[in-house]
Amino acid sequence: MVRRNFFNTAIIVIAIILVLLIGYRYATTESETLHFSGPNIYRAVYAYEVMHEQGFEVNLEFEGKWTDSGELATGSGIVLEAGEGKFVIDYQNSEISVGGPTSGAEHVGAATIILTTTHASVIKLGLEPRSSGDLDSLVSELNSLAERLVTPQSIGIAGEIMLDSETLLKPTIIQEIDNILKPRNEITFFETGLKLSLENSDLTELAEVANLLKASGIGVSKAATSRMLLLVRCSCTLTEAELNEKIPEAANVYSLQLIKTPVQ
Amino acid sequence: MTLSKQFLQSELLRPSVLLILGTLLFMGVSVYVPGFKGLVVIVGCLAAFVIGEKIGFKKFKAKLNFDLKKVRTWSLIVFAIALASLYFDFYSAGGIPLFNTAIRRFLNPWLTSIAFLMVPASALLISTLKKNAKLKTIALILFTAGMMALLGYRTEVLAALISGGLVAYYCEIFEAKEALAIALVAILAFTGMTLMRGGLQNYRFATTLGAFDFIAEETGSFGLTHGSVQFADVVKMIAKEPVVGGRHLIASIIGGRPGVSITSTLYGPPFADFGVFALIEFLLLGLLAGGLYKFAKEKKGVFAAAHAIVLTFLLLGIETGITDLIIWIYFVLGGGLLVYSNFKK
Repeated sequence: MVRRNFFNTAIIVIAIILVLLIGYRYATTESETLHFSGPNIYRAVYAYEVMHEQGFEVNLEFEGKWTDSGELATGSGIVLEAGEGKFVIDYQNSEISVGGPTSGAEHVGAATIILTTTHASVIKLGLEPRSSGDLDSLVSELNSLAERLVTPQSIGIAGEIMLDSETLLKPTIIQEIDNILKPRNEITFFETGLKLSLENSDLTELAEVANLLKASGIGVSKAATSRMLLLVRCSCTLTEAELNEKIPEAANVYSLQLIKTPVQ
Repeated sequence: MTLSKQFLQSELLRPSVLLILGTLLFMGVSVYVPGFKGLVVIVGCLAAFVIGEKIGFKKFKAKLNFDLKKVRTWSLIVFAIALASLYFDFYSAGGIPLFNTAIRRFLNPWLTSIAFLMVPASALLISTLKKNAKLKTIALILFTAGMMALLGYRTEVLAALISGGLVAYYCEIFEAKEALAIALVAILAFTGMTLMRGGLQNYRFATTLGAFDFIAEETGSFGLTHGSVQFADVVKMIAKEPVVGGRHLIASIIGGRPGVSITSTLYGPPFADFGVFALIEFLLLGLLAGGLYKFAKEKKGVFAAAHAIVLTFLLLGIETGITDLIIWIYFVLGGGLLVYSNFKK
């Protein structure tokens, strides 16, 4: 039997106050939202990876301090890469890294992080392998397919593209293409061809690669792809069935998925 | 009734009460609260601890008696060895970590572990002192805390203060108000050292709770690491291959960069290792804490020191988790003492 005295009463009162405080915090918990406190950067990275996997382009808004000067840092940028407790974002046309609040290695030590998608939905199109006379035609074909469905904000692409070159290639072309592509994309070099293994690219980048090849005097005689995923990012109000109707048979689409929730 | 008597009759020093209050306080001051699964894990572990403590308090009986002179001699020997290790540790590292934090990475883990023994040795020494040896006790507690502070570890400083205060209270060297004053000094020391490390906006607690929450969500019902987090130090001793430290493993599970170590509360490592079976671990910890609490109240002396050490590291583990070999050794020795003392004829 617990005796009634000052200390026992104090234990109960303190416990009740703390439970209420924690209850209040729980009610306004961040785990169900995409607003993260800086110390929770690992969960933020995890959430980003889920969103990225779904095909969403993610904007990161941060508030914290610049680690070099200790001055207040606020801003936002599209996430280019995330992992190991940090984000790399495109901030005012340069890449900066955003880490947790006690981070010393990153540009920004963030106290709060807000992740938002730059668009409302993603149409994931699974495309059968295809080939084309050159890279430009392939990019145009994929662009028109996406524009047939909706007005896209951006078009992501994942899969492999093999290019036959009409001339012998020099290794510097790998670096030049790598400079155009975002992280997580790879290029394999052959004397008379290139393989682009794309995980995190978009059609704008592919168009840039096509222009680079042209500008370098490299003619492409054939472009062949593996099965690919086309990620059409848009503010789409159509249903999956309506989108399906809009796809021509010749487009060789093996799957279509409309994703409206970035984190399921 | 005086406050001292009320303190004596209160439940404030009951291990489960301190553990529950400590956990609530830790969560209350953190800017982050775990999700539903995380909260269920914490409540489940605390419930298992309370049950274990009740059983331990009821079932165990202290039948062992100690020769205090022998205890004092052995504690003094251990204390002296620990002090010498501390000196050689600083000498080999090239400085004192408190004054230059970079030195900490050059400390020798074995010498540091032996130096940590100063805390239990100090608790045992206090348990052998007479009731009127207040000044000696205060000097011993402050000396031990000061030596541990030189290492730059908050945990050991707090351990020296809390365990010393507890033993002195159980052995009737300190009265309630003096024990409370020591507790206040420990809280101030903790706050001061935390602020010195992280500034006014301290995110350490939130990072720890965030890590625990992530572990609770991502680990399956039957655990993920099966002992590799809590007993990494033990595995290190027998494995030929390099072994990742427990807190480093937690960091790698939640996606931290290589080489970073992250604490995940008292509840994170058991759940990461064994999932729901972590409840058995908390039941056993409750059994140990409950039994030693009873012994400390009834027999004082060495039992008070053992109880103080186990309880102190359990409470400090609320933030750091229990992953260090030395703490497991304290717990195993405490358990051994409990069982041996109970079954001795």
